[in-house]
Amino acid sequence: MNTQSSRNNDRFSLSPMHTDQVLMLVILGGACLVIALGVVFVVSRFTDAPSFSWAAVGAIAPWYLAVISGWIMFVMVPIYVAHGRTRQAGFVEWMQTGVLLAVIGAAIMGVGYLIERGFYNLLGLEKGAEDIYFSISSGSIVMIFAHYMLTFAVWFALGGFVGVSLYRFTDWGWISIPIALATASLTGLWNFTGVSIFGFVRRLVPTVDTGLAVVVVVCLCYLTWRMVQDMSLRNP
Amino acid sequence: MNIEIRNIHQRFGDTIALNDLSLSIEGTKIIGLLGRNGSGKSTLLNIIAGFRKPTSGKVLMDGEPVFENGRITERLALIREVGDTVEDSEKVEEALRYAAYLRPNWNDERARYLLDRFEVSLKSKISSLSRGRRSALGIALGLAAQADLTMLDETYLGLDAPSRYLFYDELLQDYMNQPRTFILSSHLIEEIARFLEDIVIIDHGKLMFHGNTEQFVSQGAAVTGNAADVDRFVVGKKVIGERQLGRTKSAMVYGEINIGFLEQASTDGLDVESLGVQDLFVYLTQPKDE
Amino acid sequence: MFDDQQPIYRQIADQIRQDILGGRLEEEEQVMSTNQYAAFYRINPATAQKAFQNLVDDGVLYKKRGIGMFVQAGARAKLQEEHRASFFGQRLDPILTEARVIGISAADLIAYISLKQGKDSGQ
Repeated sequence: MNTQSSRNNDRFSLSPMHTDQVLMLVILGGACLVIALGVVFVVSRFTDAPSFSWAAVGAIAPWYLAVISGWIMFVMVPIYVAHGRTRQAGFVEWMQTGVLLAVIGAAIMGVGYLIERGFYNLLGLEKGAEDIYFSISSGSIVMIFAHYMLTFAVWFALGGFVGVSLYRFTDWGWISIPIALATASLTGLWNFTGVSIFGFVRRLVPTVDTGLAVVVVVCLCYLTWRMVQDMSLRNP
Repeated sequence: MNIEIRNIHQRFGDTIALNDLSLSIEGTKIIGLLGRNGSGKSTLLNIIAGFRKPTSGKVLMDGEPVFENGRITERLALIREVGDTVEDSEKVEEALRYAAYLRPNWNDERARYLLDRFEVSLKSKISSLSRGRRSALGIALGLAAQADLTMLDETYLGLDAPSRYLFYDELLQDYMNQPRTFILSSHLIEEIARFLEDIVIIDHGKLMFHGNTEQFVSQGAAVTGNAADVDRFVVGKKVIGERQLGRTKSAMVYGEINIGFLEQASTDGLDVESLGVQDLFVYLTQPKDE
Repeated sequence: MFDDQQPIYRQIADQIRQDILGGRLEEEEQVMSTNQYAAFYRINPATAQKAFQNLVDDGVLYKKRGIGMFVQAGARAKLQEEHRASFFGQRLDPILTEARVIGISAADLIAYISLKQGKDSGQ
């Protein structure tokens, strides 16, 4: 009867999941920026040189992406399958969402730094020379963008890997968390944001290795795909 | 539409849920899938819908494998528990939005009409819905998907009798307006037997019966009379159940009930009564060791 | 609505026969569609279809292509004829058997019938 799909699979079009997630990210990013600037303003009333509070947002943001990614794998992909879509279709949308969030999230981070710097100038605040954001030229915004995009990509991959592991293996799935964290910390990206849990790993891998980060993303995506491609839907 | 189930085996650890099950379904029909709890019927539906890859064997629809084949799976709908297809924290409205995106043949008007009939508000949060309303949402999502093969696995849970009859009426309407195949699994056999064209019975992971409902019913009879006469009569016949009250005995016989059978019973002074779908099912699948 | 002892299609066919006999369905009148029967009785349309086919085979209904089912001219007389033929054997015999079991004599029965028939024709 309806052998012909009414959907056009050839062209990329935004799904409700894409638009929902991008919209949420933009709203949250905007709200965080307002709060960050507010904190800078209040702190500047008492001390001379508050450190960048936007950097703190940058430290939390990857975790937000990881949670969203895990939620897509754990909740949305099974829903897709239950609605007659393939696991592959769900996986592809997960990846597309990851790319969108990493790119748009990184853009928000870059713009946020610019706005925050402008806000400092407006308030007439001087920053200490040790602050990397001032010591690097305005071209550093490209670097900031690239750095966050890479970080978000790693954390997004990590979240999906954990999400699908938990869905497929239930209790054993928790093992994926230390595995994912150890893998992610290898990249050293974490430390750039100023928050480090695996400081000891940083000493082993002192530099941010872009190549390594890309390899980690690819590996996590591959493992996620292997787990998702033939997973059974859980019984209600 | 044609579904070919070939030598399906499903193992869960040490237990065998489905044992070399083969079955072929054709045409546009309402089919009843009957089986006791744990018989393997839900597992079978999961495998047909591509929710699960069986341990071995395969399912073909119009000659193509079902599992991870998007062109085929979009023509299938299996509703088990509504939580499969919606996210609990969202509103009913949101669930429709996703269904409209994911289902190529989605009929939004139909979905809204059904939800209205079942008194499910579009603004309700799904987690706040009662058991019955959740089932109703599942039914609406299943019917509005307008899939070539729609499977409803005990979707009546929590629905009161008026809502169930509403469900049956709407299902029949759907079937008549847009003929397609439905598979219903239900324990409320009495309620659905009359609109089942075919019946599939699964017992202990094996196919026990597949065929026309009337043909099924015509194979079962209760032979009642003097115990000794009944015992003599049933020799060589397949007796699937017995009941005795004093000297009167009823034997449930399964097999071909032809003119010869009826005439013999009549000359022996025995009553022959048909066993409806439910009774026949109960006698056929009741636990053996008692 | 239905009893288990007869296939549903036969019960529906009998219902239509009764409607024709009782004048609720006129000759050459259109019968409700299979879908309407199916929805009304909550049965599978295939079952209603089978009932109709049964009646067509018996010459009670006929099909007008693209329109639907109609009552055959002369169907009532035909049905009356058939029912008369089976009345004594199928309907009356069981009653007479029961009357014998519970001790109602032939005279009692005749008296009752005369009374009833007299009343009916006296109106």
